[in-house]
Amino acid sequence: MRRFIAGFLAVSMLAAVGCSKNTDNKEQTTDKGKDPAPSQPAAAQVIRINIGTDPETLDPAVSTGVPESNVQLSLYEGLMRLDKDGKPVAGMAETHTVSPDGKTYTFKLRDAKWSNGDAVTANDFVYAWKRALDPMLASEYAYQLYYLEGAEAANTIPLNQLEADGKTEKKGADGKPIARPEADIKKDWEAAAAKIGVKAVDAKTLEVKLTSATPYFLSLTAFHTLYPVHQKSVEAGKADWFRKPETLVGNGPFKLVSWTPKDKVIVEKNPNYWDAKAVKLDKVEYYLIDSEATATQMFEAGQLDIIESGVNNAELPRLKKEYPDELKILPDLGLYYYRFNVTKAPMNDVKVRKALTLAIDRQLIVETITQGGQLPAMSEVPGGMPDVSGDFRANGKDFFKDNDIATAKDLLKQAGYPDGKGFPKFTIMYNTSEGHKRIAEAIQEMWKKNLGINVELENVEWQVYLSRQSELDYDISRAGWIGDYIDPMTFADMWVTKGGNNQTGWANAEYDKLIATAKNSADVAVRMKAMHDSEKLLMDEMPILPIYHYVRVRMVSKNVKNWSEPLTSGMNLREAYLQK
Amino acid sequence: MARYILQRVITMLVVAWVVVTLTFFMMKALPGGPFASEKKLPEAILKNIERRYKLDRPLMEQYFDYLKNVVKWDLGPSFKYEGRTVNDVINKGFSVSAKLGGLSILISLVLGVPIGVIGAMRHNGLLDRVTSGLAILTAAAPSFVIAGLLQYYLGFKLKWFPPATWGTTKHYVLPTIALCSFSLAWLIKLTRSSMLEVTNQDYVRTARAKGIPEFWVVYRHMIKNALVPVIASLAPLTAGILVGSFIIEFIFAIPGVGREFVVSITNRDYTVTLGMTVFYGFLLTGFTLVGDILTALVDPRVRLDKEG
Repeated sequence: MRRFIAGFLAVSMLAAVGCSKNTDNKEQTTDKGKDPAPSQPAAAQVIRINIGTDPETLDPAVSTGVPESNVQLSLYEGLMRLDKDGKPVAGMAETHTVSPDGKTYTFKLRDAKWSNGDAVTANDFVYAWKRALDPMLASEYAYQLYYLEGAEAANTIPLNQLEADGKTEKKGADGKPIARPEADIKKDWEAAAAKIGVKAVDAKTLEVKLTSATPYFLSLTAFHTLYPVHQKSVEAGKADWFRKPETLVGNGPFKLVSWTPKDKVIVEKNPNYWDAKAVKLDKVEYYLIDSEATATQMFEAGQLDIIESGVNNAELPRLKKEYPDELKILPDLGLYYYRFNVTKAPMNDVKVRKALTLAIDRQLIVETITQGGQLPAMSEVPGGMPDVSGDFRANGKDFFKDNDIATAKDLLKQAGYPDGKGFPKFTIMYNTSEGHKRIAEAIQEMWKKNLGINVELENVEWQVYLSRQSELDYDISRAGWIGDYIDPMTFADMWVTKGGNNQTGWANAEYDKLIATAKNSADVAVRMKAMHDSEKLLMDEMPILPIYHYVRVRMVSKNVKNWSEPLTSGMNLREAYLQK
Repeated sequence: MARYILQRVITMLVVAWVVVTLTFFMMKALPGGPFASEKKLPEAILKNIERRYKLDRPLMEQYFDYLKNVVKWDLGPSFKYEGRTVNDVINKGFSVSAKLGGLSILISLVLGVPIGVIGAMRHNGLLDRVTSGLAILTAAAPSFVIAGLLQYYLGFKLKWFPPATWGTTKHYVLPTIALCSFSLAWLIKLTRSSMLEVTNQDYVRTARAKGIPEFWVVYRHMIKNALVPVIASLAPLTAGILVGSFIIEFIFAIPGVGREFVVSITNRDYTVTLGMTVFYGFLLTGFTLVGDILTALVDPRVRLDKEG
């Protein structure tokens, strides 16, 4: 008996393992029969691109990340779309007019279809935009629509009963917030939603009213939060409508075939796309490989055509040498910098902040540490953004000299620390990462050598880092910022007093005034001047220490033609094709 | 025996409850949250999100809600991956990890135990020296080294097997070898050393003295007893391998449950981390129970019940 039970248990232990073998094979069948080795016939136009991380969603109203925006760019199209230089060109809107005060936009839609054959109408935009603003959907990126009249008010209707009653205290007698009845919130929302500045004048005419003239609004309509969605499918598909090909109805050049989490997203040509003849690819396979080493090796072995995310940084010098034509270093809308906590001594002294900023050799950092073609930053706003004429950065020039040790020493002396004597103990905080560590170590060494001061390094886990930074619980903190839209404002408005992303404790009334001027003026010259002035003020006060401007590192096979990836956009494969 | 199992099942449930409770409060005590990001969100938007995921409720209410749902095996929605439930994440991921892990354990057992036995029988012979040398090497080398080497040479250089991703039978080969390298080496060493220990026991000498054929001595008296520690260690080993190896899944880009688990912690995807911990807890206690019963059945010194 005993032996029998032992045998039985052993068998069932293995069977428990074996059972799962028979189930759940369905999803993989789509890939089966396809040789993993790259032996595609020349006729099949299939691009295999690694985007690194599994998209969190493909609902354009709630998505926030880069992997998502890559896939969504294939599946949807906004009123405008970005051409290969990043300029907004006609997408769903064939033409548009702007009122003289710059606040009212009227879009005339073209005769476009959804992937299921339905017509794209102005109502689809009204639905999609109001949906993104609905507090019940709770989209993180709802603020991308705050430019619309009444949008912010609608998105921020009170959810707490005390707030709704206009009381100042936020918590009830028992110390808990009092949730409002669902029906009340809904009623408020419906009233507020009716006032949002977007209206379908007729099936093909969309009228948009903005709170103030926003010169970059056209570019913004190419951004995913403002994509239209197909109401019937969204409502029919429930919470995961965007995970199923039946209910993910898009209006972009491609349509969803399958999405296997952590494995692959596959899209194919959408025959109902209005400009389908421009689309040459039959299929795009988005790989979700998060190991950089694996992705890079697969590219080298010809098993990936594009690495959008996952070029192995550790191997960049070799890749540069061996793949000069495939390795692409594109400018990016980003700044790598350190924050000073200006509420704490000695960082409350602008002379100290300046001395620390000047005593860094940025050129050395980008050449020997990051090695990805990054550009030393002697300013805040990166290049690539248009000014009244020319480039905002080129016109604004650098604000200080890189590695200016003499001036730095002088400033430190003026601040009362000649040769670093008596400089209090302080720390650079960064979120744990090999790259951040190496930069911090270099800066530590430079300050020691150039100024005679010692700084300690502290690495903390990502979430700890975020919360300590926002609570001003640091001396100097590593930071990075990627702009949302192509206008210097995406950098400038971070530093307004008590701005959510300020997190330095820096407050300057004059700066706030300049930003307000830039935000409320329809005159491009006035706006740009205000933003140049604000950047100068920021660099005079130096609450941040700019280090370098980001670049995007990609690998693209020589066979892939006609791809583009302008600033703020994902990898655009709309007109791409393979040529072997 | 029924009583013994019942006792163990009750202990299992208590352990599971402790695991749920501890993980729940520890997750809540961690700084940050699933919606923290470098770009700070406007306050009102954060409130909308908290309301949607019921994070604005009092902590105890959240806890009891969660407990109620765990009993129904409804582990809630993922906070990070829109439209996915934790049950879905576990089902999809586990079906991949379990296939890979099951195969690895099977191979380790089928190869490891006989090699260990033969090695002990031909103690210090050529085969013994070669296998124990290799076993020490693979047990000492971290799995990412083995995985990396396999991927580079067999995948990219020789192109015998797909170097990464998931789908066909061929995709199993490299990760399975990488995954079973440790458990195989470990089983070889364990079997070999416990066989050697048994060899010098009195009852083996007695059996031989009685003139029992050598094969029967080895099979009946030695292996059976030598396997006791092997079986005892198999439970945690199996549970551990089945829930996936983060490193192997990361290197070979396999959509398994191990990758989901580790990523969910950095993401503060509370419900996924909680659900996975609870799931792993159940699996581990379950396999330990099975392992204990097996040990008791094989080892005459352990009794399931007093009169047995």
